[in-house]
Amino acid sequence: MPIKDLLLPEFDQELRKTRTVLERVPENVEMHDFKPHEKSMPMAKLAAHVAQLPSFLTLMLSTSGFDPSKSDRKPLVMQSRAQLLACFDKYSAEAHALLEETSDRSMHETWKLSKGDQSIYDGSRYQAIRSMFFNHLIHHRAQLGVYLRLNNLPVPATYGPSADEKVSH
Amino acid sequence: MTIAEILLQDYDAEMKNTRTTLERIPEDKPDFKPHDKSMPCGRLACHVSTLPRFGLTILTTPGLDMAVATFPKLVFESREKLLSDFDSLAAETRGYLARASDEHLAQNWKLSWGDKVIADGPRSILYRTMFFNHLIHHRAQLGVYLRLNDLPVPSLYGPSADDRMGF
Repeated sequence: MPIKDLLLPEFDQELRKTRTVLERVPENVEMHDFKPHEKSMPMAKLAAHVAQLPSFLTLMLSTSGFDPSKSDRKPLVMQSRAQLLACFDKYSAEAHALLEETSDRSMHETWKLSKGDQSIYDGSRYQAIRSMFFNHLIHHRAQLGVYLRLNNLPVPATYGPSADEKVSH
Repeated sequence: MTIAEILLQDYDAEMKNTRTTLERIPEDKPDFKPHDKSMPCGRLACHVSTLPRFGLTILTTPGLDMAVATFPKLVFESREKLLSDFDSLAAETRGYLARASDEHLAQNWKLSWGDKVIADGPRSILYRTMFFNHLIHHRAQLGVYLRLNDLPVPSLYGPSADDRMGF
């Protein structure tokens, strides 16, 4: 089975679930600075990070490596929920199209993440997208769910029922 | 590369990340919850530590009917018990996955509640979405529980406020 065929159904499911969480991020600007703890990321920043992650998948599928210290790639800044969702949809569609065209050969090629001379990741592209896109996205999306909960907003059922919803999206 | 080999690539790293999180679960706060509607810390930690059993179920059965299935009680006893449950289940699941053929992993697995089908799809996909990703999801929630108790949060996919990973 080509690796992309293993990843595409999962991509579609997880991105659909991610959109549902992003749709619940409040428009109320006062809530955008909410953080559960002094050391935590503010809600709007976390939501924008989640919304932007599919563009990181596109980057991993279309380059041989990434060095944030040598890049002008900027973090997405949340202005409104509509803007966040529009960016997420655009990035997701781009990543999906590219993933569909990715061969096993390309999946096995080396991809590197580095910061100047420091190597942070040096392994297969497949492993990079698994860990730094899929797993990373699920991780932050779950944190965002807790932020919704702490603001008395309904939490979507993601892998099973939540206290608010019985059926997954 | 077989499907099992593909799926195994991030298995060890994610199980290690999960163990690191479980090692930090406080023994004295099993009832802590960030919100009335949230799962208590001890119960959530037990859910995470025993989730590999669900991976095993997906790998070793044709399906699961939740109307008749029995589930573990999820009662927190000690961190030691949490870790020993997790270690043995994660190892057992890994063993089955490593031996699973492409044919077996491509077959459909079914989750149902009596007559109602909840999921019906290839094992390879459901292993991922119902077990592996599910585990990452709840482990991330546990990270927030640690943070709210002023306990150090492990750095998993990038620096945390407690471990900058050289950044």
